[in-house]
This record gives sequence, C-alpha cells and structure tokens, in this order.
Amino acid sequence: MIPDHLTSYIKPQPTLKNLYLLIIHNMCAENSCADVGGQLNLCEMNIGILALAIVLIPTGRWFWRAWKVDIPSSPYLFQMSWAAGLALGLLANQGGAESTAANWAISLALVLLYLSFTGAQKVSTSAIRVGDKIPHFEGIDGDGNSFSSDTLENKRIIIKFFRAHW
Amino acid sequence: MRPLLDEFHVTLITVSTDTVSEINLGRKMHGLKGTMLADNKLKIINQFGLKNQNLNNFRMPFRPGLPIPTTLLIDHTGTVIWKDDTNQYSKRSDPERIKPVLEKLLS
Repeated sequence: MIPDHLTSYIKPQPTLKNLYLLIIHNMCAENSCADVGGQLNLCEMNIGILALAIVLIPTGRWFWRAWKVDIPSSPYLFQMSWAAGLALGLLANQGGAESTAANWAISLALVLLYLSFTGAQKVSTSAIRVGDKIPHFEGIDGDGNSFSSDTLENKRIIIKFFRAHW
Repeated sequence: MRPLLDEFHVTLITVSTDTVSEINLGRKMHGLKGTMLADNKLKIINQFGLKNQNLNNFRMPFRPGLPIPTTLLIDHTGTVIWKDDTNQYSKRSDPERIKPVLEKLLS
C-alpha cells in the first residue's frame, strides 16, 4: 500500500519518476520514506547489483554450454534476461546517483543484445554450391603434416566446416 | 559416425579455425578422429567461399573471421552433390541427418 504522503507523486500525472519512486518504496524498507536520500541510494545499489546478476548469470550459462559444445538453439530466453537486466540497470540510475553495478549491467546488456540480434550468418555470393567442383586446397592437419586435396582424388568425401572446438 | 562412413566408403575431412594444438585438444575432449585441417587464417574456408560475411573487423578484431558451419558431400569426380548449411550455428550435420542422404545419393 502506498503511504498517503506518497500518493501525491502518483496523482494526477503518473510519470517515469513517480513510477520509479513507487517501485523503490515497495522494494525498500517500509519506513524508508523518512530517510529518502540514504535509503534510496542503498536500494539503487541493490537494484544495480540485481541487474548485473540478471545479466551475468545467463551469460555464464551461455558460455558454459558453448564450452560443452551444446550451444542453445534459441537465444530468446537469454535476450529477455539481458533486456530485463538493462531495464533494471536503467531504473537503478534513475534516481540520479549512479551505481557502478548498474552501469556494468547496462553496458554488458547492450553489447550482448547487439551481438545476439545481429549475429545472423551471411554467406558469400561466391560460396560453393551443389554441382560445383571443389577447388584444389592445401593445409596442415592435426599432426602438423602438410595435406593436399590431391590425395582425395577419386574418393567420396565429406568435408565439414566448423568454427572451432569451442 | 565412423561405421556409417565406412559403410559408404566416405572419407571425412574437417576444416576449422583451430590451430594444430587446439585440434589435438579437441581430439582429447571429444575423441575425434579423421583428417582435421587447421585453417586459422581461413585460407581453405575462403577458397570455398564459406567465410561468415557478417563477422567484420569491428565484431571480431582479434581473429580473421569464422566459417559458416557447413557440410559438403562430394562424389568421386570432385563434385558437390549435397550441401548442408544453416543459419543456426548450433545445428550441425549429425549422423541422423547425413545417413539418409548417403543412402539416397551413394547407394
């Protein structure tokens, strides 16, 4: 319930600042209104830490699964977590006193969201197609020996291109 | 997948941006066998035109890029008869996807 002396912040114009004060009040101790400055800063710091945790935990989970070569097929839950961390981080900085944790949460969330939304693969127009002859190629194998595609003549071959062991 | 490849007399070659030492690490981690080529400068990958064009120097400043995960099936004449590529990099050609293709194209 909103104390009477706070309702003036809500009526008649519900602004972002008023919404922020409402959330802060409900998240902080009941009598925090008496010491607005100190309590609000502490709450903002806690929200900033929460925002950073919301960003870091799924990120760690993503890299763990990548290490296990079990990358999630859908990034949506991760994107939602990063967006939530971004929103909370922005909320934590609304009061004017910036939280280091909130700034980190905002920065990381922005980078991760950018990468996740722009990570679609784009193939070259000159990519090999069905019906093409494979080019002659040479390389180094896992034992450090030279390899030439000449050794593959008259053989059925599967060539798998992948990013890396991670 | 080895029994499947032996059944159809298919040679497996892998190409990745791993270095030789990273390939050996991967072998120990996942028990991989076969000819695995180290292409960390993307020379072979570029010859096949399979470099991910979205990964420019801004997005990947410390590496020359990455390939789009792709599997090619090539017949004895050196012609590509099947290609499996995907926008979802986590989906790769596993035996369940390759087996029906081998049965259809190489039987």
